[in-house]
Amino acid sequence: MAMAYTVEHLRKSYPGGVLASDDLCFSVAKGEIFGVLGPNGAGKSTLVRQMVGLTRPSSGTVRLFGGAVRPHDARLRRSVSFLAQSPLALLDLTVAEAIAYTGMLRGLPATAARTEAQQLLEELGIGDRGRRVIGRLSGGEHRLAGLASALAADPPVLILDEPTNELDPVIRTHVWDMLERRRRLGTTIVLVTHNVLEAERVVDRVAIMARGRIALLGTPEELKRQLHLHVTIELAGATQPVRAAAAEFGQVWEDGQGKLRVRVGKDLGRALQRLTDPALFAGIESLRVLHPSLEDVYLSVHGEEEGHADVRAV
Amino acid sequence: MSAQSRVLSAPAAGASFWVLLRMQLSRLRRSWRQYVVVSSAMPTGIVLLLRAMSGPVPRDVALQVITGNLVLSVAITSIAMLAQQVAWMKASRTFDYFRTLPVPSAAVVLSILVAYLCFALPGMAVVLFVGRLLYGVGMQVGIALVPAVLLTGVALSGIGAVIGLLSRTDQLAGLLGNMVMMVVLFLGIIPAARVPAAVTAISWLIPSTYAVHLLMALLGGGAPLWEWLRDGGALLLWALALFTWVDRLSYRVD
Repeated sequence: MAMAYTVEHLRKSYPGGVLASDDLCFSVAKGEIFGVLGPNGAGKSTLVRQMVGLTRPSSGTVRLFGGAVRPHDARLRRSVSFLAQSPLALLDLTVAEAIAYTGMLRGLPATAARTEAQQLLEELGIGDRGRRVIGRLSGGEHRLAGLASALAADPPVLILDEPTNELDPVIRTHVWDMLERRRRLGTTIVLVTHNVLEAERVVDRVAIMARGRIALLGTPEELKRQLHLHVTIELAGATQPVRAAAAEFGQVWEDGQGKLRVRVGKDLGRALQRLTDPALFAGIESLRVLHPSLEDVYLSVHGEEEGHADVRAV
Repeated sequence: MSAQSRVLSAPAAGASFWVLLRMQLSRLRRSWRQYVVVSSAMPTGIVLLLRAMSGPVPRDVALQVITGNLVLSVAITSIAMLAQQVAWMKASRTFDYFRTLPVPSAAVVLSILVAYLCFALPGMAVVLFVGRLLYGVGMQVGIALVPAVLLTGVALSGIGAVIGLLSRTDQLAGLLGNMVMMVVLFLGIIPAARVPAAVTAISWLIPSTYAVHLLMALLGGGAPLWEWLRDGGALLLWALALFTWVDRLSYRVD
């Protein structure tokens, strides 16, 4: 498989002994959406800044399409578009100008850049906001304008740092759809995000970072298997006999809202059969089967006992 | 189409510069009143004050007052305001946007320096008009003023940008920018004959002195060629040196 990025033994230390990247090794395949997850201070931003040549590694290498990434590398700048956390350079431009000017600075002729700007605005569902000055927009719209500018001139590699922060759910859906369309066209996307649940919808593989290191790396499914994350049954209105029956299938605990949860592992079929037995089921108000999500993987790495599992079936 | 085949050629440096300059000038959309008032109020006020206090003065003194205040207009936007803006751009990592685009760093830096000169142009026009009206001196406003004003702007903006890039906070940059602007004001407006020799000697170490002399020679006419060459050459050297320094500082990698 052809690689877009290859990162080998990347280390970045700052004065005072702070180790922001600690022996990072991974690769990102061409056309892949690669998620970088982790809490604040985990080293995500330092990693992506090294990938775009804004920060010089203390040791190790970053390769883009086989060639070593160096600061001020012309090839890197032509191939990679980086959405930083806040596009402050664009504050005084209208949204359409920000996209078109970025396109022109990436090499598009002026007419093509303006046409593309309008198409991007429509694609992201903000066609009516092209003439608004970015500095006067809300936080989410501001973020979206930055994202649209990062997409200008359709670069082969996108590195997006928190692209959906502050966006409303409808616009977030447009953004995830748009990223999927870009992937189908062959764009490689490195996605730094806190929005783990929604990211699971689009990422092919993820690196979960903790204290400058990669704690877990793989596809969401691989990580769930690796951590032996189990299916959970959630019951509302469970009586004492139900609790006793549930305990036969695995760990039982109560969540913060008075609902009973049972971690059932491989015995889901048998557990469902037992718990829906008419003799037991009479008092139960609701029953839900919760499949482990990428967020559960994330929380298991970062020390949380239980997260918000994704609801797959009722 | 494969992803890699979508890589476009980088735009030409000149084309990049014009796009970048338009981006910088878009600041006028929200702040044009501020730039007009700030670049014109203080220099015009000084011209009015000196005229009211001194009465009729010789032509060369009138020219010095007018050109000194023309340069002060540029210093206000290019040193005091730009220093604070650049310090903020550095702290907020605004330069990152430009550093990840396939455009030459020189085009980015030049667009910022030239934009802040442009913000001073309304103030310069007001000073020129009011000065001519109050002092009644004839001035030659010719095409040669364009490169002279451009060199003045790049040199003084270079000072503002260096202050901004070397300051730890934008407040400190603002303070230092204002102090340097006061030096420009003091050394630019007061005729050399009226200040101690040591101060005059120091004044030849800063670019604004050459800018005032060059503009005086152009507006007043009659200056010998060697003075034009000395002042223009010194300004050019200052502009190139400061431009190079700003280029290196603003594109420094962590």
